[in-house]
Amino acid sequence: MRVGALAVMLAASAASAQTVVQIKQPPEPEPPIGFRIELKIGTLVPRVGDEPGLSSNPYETIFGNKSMLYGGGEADFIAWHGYGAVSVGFSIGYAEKYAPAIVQKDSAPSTEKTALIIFPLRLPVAYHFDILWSRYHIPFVPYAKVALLATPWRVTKGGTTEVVNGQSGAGLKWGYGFTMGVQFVLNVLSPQMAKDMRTDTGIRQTYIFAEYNYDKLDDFGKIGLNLSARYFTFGLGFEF
Amino acid sequence: MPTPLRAGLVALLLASPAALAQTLTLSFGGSGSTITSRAFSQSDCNNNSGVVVTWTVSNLGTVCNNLQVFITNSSGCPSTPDTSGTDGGTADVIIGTFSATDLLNLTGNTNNFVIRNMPGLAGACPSGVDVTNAICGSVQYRPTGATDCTTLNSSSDLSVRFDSAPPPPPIISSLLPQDSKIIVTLDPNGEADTSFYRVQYAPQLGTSDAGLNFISVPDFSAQNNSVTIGALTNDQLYVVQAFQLDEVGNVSPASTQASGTPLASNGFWAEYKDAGGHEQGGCNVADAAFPSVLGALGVLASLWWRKRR
Repeated sequence: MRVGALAVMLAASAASAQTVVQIKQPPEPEPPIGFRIELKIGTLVPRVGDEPGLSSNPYETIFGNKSMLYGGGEADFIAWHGYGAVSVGFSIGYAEKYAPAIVQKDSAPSTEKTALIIFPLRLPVAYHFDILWSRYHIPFVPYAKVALLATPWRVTKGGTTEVVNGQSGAGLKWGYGFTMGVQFVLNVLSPQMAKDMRTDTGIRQTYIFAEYNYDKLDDFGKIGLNLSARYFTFGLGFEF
Repeated sequence: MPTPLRAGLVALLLASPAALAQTLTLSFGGSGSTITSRAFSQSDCNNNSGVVVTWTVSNLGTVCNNLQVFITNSSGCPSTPDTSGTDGGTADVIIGTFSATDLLNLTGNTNNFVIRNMPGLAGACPSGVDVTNAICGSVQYRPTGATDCTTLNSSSDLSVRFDSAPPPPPIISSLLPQDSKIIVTLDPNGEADTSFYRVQYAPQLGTSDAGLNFISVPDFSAQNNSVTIGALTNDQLYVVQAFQLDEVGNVSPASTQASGTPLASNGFWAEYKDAGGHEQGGCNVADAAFPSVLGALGVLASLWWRKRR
């Protein structure tokens, strides 16, 4: 009798007060692989004067202390995603600097322009420590890269490749480089927009970044034109 | 208005003469030609060059008067040729007359009209003259259902020009001496129909301009108003002059001469080598290095991709 009364009371209670339980969806796990595309810009001064045996720094003589304007892009394949992410990629860039040539007779500026043009190519391997973002929603992702560098270069005067004593001012430099940087994940500014973007385009993360590059571009220590540089780049990136 | 009546009115309007617009068009060198202006030099004129005009007309029905193709120096095409010159200009010249029978063919050609006979030239080819005349056509016909004749004028007027006046000399607006070369920039000096420029240069070996042995660089299109004179000797003073040619090849007098001295200069590469740089260079980025690096990376990427699959 008592048991039956209790059952009736419980049933009545459930019927009169309907409780809504909201279950918060856990964040979607990061997929194990993906892609990253970045556009970047910066300025750099090649360390031409570091070449042993030079009587002066020809870069400073021609261009002063002014930097080359650099722009480029990078595509990375995220090969592993666990405690952070490891990616391999390919980066292509362009940098140039123009200045008047120097008249031999009196060292006055010529009406003719000379330019140093470089096409930095790199094969970076990167590690992104994205735990802060993926686990704690702190929108900063520090990262580090190491890269193999190949940089075709060209010197022009009056619009054509400059030739001195039969030697053409163009070539290819090999080297290596290190990069340290940090991403600021823009998703945090508008989670709903980020969600829509992911649904509509597959872009799961948008970020801006700043990075410091240490490029050693001297054919692995061979004496010759030294295009090494230490410089900052900034840019915008998308992760798919 | 009942619907059948309205439809009948529309049909009547569509069939009316106003709806069936008649056309008379003129062209050079056969129907379909898009050239509307032709110019002749004094040399062409002396060689008795001329023009043939092709007329094309839609079916006019009743033709009241012959089709006349004529040349006039009036500012526009009058409705009929004025061969007396009372319109203020010289007498218009009729270059072709075509009867109603001819018009049944819907198209035809005038005989070759020798340009020296056009208004203003009076059979001669004078020097220093620049005359432009219009070629017009006119015919009278009676539209279906009308009692009066209507004049139909050509819808696409042509122009013919005799130009024996040389253009003014161009202006050398800038002359930039550089390493083994001089860049010359020209201004047409108000001439509207400059087709080509001609630039000449000469080393000034003495102190006088007398005896300058000018060398011409190939004529170049007036669309490019500058030219580079290359392979010059540094530290040598060069005198430069220019001419312009109009659309019929009249050559202007020489421009005012300008002079400049090419000076050897160092670009970054020469400055680097002068400072004792060890780099040998010699590999052209556009020719080899850049494509080869990209190619190698492409091969590596494809191998890696195939291995993954």
